[in-house]
Amino acid sequence: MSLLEVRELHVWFDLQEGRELHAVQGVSFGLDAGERFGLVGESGCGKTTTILGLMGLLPPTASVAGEVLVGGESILAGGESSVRSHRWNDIAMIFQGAMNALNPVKKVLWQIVEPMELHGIADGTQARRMAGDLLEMVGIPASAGERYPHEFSGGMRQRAAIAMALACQPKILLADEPTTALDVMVQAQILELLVGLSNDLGLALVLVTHDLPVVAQVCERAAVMYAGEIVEEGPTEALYHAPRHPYTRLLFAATPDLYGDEAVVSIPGAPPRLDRAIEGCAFRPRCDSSLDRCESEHPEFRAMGAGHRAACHLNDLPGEERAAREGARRAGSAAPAATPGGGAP
Amino acid sequence: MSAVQEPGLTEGLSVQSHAGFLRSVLRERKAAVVGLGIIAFFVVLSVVAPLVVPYSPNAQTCAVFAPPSARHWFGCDDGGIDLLSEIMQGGRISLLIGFTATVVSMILGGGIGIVSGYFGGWVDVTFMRIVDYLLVIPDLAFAMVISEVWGPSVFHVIVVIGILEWSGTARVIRAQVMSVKERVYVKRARAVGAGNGRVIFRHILPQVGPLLIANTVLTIAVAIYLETALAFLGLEDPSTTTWGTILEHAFARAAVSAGAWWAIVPDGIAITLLIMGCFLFGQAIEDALNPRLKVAHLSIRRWTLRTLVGGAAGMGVRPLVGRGPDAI
Repeated sequence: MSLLEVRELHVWFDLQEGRELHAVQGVSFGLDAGERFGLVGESGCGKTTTILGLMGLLPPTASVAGEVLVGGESILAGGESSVRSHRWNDIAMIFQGAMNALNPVKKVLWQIVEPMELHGIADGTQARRMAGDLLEMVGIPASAGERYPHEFSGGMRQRAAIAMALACQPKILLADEPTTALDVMVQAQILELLVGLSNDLGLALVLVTHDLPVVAQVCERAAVMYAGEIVEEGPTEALYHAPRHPYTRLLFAATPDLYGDEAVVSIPGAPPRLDRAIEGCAFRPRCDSSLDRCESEHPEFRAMGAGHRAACHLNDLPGEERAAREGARRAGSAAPAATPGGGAP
Repeated sequence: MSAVQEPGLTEGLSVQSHAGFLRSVLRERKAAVVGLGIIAFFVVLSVVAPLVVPYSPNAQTCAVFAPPSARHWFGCDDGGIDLLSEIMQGGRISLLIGFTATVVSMILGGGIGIVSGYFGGWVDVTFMRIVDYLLVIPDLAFAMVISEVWGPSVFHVIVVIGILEWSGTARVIRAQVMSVKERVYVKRARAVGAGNGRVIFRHILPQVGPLLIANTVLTIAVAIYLETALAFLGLEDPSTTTWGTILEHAFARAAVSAGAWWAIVPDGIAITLLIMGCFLFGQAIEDALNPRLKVAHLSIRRWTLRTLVGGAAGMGVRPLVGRGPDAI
């Protein structure tokens, strides 16, 4: 059984006049101890909402459906009281913009001790010693814990935020854009740290990001989200080399390649509004190889091979025809925006 | 896992505590030193007044409206009482009223501001409508009515000022709390499992604390001013000596037409000085609290433009702004 199992997670937000925004539409994934899983997609596709939802941290305007199992135990079933006992003990989180997750008027060590005290893991000298060890573990001298966050650099703050997430020895770590707003050197160090922690402590890591190279570097498996759904999930290698959804293919094409001379192709348009029902495939208006049935029929999320799943009607076509369609559209309508040869793997 | 040490880690940066904050305010802002000096002067004077007053502040020791002399530095009032002694004695009550009324209004204003901003909803609406009401009512008129109804007494004056002055503080604190409670670290604390009490006292209060202190100092000034005004209008217990009643007596007994300026001026200067001291100090704390001014590279106060001597073709670059002698 997986360590973390998310089944059919839905999140709705109440809007004015009784309308609703269906932000997360049946997301399912699972991961084992020590596994690193990436959740990618562009802004507003529900990545952060998904993990806030499974942590039970959404605002009162949100309603959540679905099941989140940690070690086989459903944590959302009992509402806040049942999540609370698991939060930070089993499943901890590094918040988006973690640099702001530190209270500017409290010493860093105090802030790492706080969750230990609240969860009754340790207090007093023992907690301070444990917090010091955690700081050392993330590469900050324990003595620096006596400083205030404003005396830390961006990278150190991020490290401190990671130490804070590890305070109660969780088994699962959710990292929401842990490297945004950091320069590439620091970013590389933080990623190295996260990989090291997941190896050393057997942490299951969910990495939420819109940065595909980061996922490729860190995660064994990844899921691509679009309009509140997972449209493709599989080993990172497979997603990169043999994507089975046009969105995945276009996302990778939109990532600059340092060594290749392929041009960066952007995906025209914007994700659909989620406050109304979407007919057919949500990606169809921006897709470069859509079929007629994409307009009316919602594609099913189906297995494509070992651990590889995707939701696209193109996968029903024979391999050659599929390749031809993708190629044709790219040479035709999408090409003017791109320079010659612009294409996907 | 290799831990790469961040640059700047080994530099011996000083840890900033609340005491350190106060010290840096005093070091960097002359106004703060002046303000604090004035406040300290009057506080010390009030404390030691009974021991050092040259004459009794209640008994006649010289002629009516005797002008300042070597024996009576500030002259005498309409009752032949030494004004220096009277001002020193009066400062005790004025400061007592100022400080106590401020404490009352800070507890009310800080508490209501935090509760209102933190919980929001109907709690917020209820308190803020009360604040609206108090903000709209003219302070002095309201204070006069209440003092008149309740009768003149030091205690009533304290209560009246306390009730009047909390509304502004509540607004300021509420706004700050609303902003602070949305910050990621507060949400993180809640996510970790901190309850309302812990979030308010451990996370939010330290954030708004310094602002509350700045407000307190500023409110002391307003409270002393209001006390003086009330006393001047005869709404305070006439048997107590405060800076306000000294003014009132001088005015009522026609010190002006008698040419006895000394019955009014020294007292007025004392009031003005103390209020100014409070403002200088309070304002300096408030300025220092603005985090955007604290960061060196964003500060407009610190940098100077220097003239380049012997630049290209012997031309110095003339500064456009700055503190240099060549500055325009």
